[in-house]
Amino acid sequence: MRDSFISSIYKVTKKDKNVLCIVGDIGAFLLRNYIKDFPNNYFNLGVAEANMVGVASGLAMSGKIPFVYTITPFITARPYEQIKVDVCYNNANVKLVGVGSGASYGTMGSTHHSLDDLALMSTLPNMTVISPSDPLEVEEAVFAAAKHVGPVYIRLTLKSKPLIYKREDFKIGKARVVRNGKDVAVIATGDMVEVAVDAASILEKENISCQIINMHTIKPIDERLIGDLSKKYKVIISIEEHSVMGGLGSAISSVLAQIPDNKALFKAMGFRDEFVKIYASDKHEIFNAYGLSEKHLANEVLSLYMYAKSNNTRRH
Amino acid sequence: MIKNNLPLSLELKAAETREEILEMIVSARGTHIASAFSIVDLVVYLYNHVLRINPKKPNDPKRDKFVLSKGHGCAALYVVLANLGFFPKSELGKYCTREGILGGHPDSTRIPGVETSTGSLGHGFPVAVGFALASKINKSNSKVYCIVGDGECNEGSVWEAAQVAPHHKLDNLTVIVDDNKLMISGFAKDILNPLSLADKFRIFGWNVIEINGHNFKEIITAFNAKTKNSKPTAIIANTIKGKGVSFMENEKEWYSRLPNEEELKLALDELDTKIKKLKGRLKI
Repeated sequence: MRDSFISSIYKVTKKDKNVLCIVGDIGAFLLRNYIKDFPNNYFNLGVAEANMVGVASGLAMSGKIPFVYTITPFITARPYEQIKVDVCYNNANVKLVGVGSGASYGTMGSTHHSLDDLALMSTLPNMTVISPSDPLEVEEAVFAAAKHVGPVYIRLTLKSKPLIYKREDFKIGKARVVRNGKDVAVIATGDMVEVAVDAASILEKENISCQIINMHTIKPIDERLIGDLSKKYKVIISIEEHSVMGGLGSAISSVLAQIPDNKALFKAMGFRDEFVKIYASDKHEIFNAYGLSEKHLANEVLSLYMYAKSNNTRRH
Repeated sequence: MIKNNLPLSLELKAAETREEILEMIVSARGTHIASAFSIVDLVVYLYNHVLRINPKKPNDPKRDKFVLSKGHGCAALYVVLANLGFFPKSELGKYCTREGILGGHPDSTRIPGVETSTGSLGHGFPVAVGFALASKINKSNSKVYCIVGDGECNEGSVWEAAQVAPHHKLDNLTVIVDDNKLMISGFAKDILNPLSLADKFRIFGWNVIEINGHNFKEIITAFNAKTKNSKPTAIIANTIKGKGVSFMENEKEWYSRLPNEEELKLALDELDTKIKKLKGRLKI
């Protein structure tokens, strides 16, 4: 996803010279062509993120479209009040891009993890929150963010190969169906979309058919689709590379809670109230250790589906 | 050359502005009189003689920009903006009410002429750096002025911005430190000793000018000084918190309290006397 962001910011700047790429001292090597071809659009503002977000707001309120890029905790949690006041309160046209989100920096420890960024960004008025699931979607998100007037946060994780499915046009706030099913709906975001697809293959062998939703926009959440799913399915499960508090699962559950006749059972899978305490260069080892692998997801789907089925029988 | 009457007529405008600030804050049971008083002279001079702005076109892309980083001094800004016609003067009477656009801290999305929302300290300065950088990118002549408080200089983001501005040669940026030396709990030197703010800015790569922030001759000279070596300019304005009403000056209890009826009369009488005296000297 990182490489896709690098090529996308190049393309979007080529199209609109008001686009700027602002970094907190990362990506200089990967951005070398950008720096060579757009020297006046690139600013490395150093390791001073609070100032960087303030400067970006000043640039945005002067008609520029700054994309501010660094490692996720340093563009979300660290300058949080600058995002609240300078970006969101002013409704400045700033685009924040966090790289290595979730547990992507698997060996770096919790300083470099972000299991809270969706929660932090979603709660800010005026902010749009996008969590792409593959490199193609990163490019679509970057172009959509440049076009959208107002603050946007784009959460980049690791997935480097495109997911293969028939895509509807990318639209902020409109989720994508990755795979149709008839028994259970699984709503995933970011790298977890692939995990969900793998889980669906496991479940096929158990004769359970999963619909997989790629919820690429966390805010505004696709309420309409969630409403439709709640009518069609008895079981909905969400999975995210984020705390279960304040991210995708919370957003879905708050939609479901507003539906008076909702009968769908819902379970949110994600990191619990804890820091990741293991180091692993393959992030899937972390997913596995924290109950978030495709096998864990398949097991959850299976047990919830069986429960709903038996419960349904009892009710009638 | 400074025109003979200019400092006196500015003093008059500043005294009248202080009266309006006092009346506005007291009638709304608001706060921060003393913080507004310490910057009145600077704000009056900036808006009447420095900033190239048009109240009828507050979003003119060629305009100069002013940022009040110490947002709690906003009563001074509100009165000056209203007097210039950025919004109707009747708004001053609706300060801090549901009917009005003027709150206890400035909101850029509601108040014409306010460039960025402030109130939380250490925010306006970096945004001002962004304005100045945009002006450089656009090869525009637009200049940026920003007032920060000396207490505000406790904030780390102030020094992040202070590093970035000289690095990018933002000689179109002037930061004025309202160095009134008083914070909520007492004197700045006893809370978090700033040592020399002038030395700090100098070593960060700024042109530094130190002035008495209530002396219009010094204010005029400072703002007319030519920028050198592509550096941004820091004006360290030595000011007095509560300046203009003698019993409020340099007294920490007046950081946030309101005058009672008797004190209000005393304060207005003092300002009235000053206004009459100045009008006499100006033969108005």
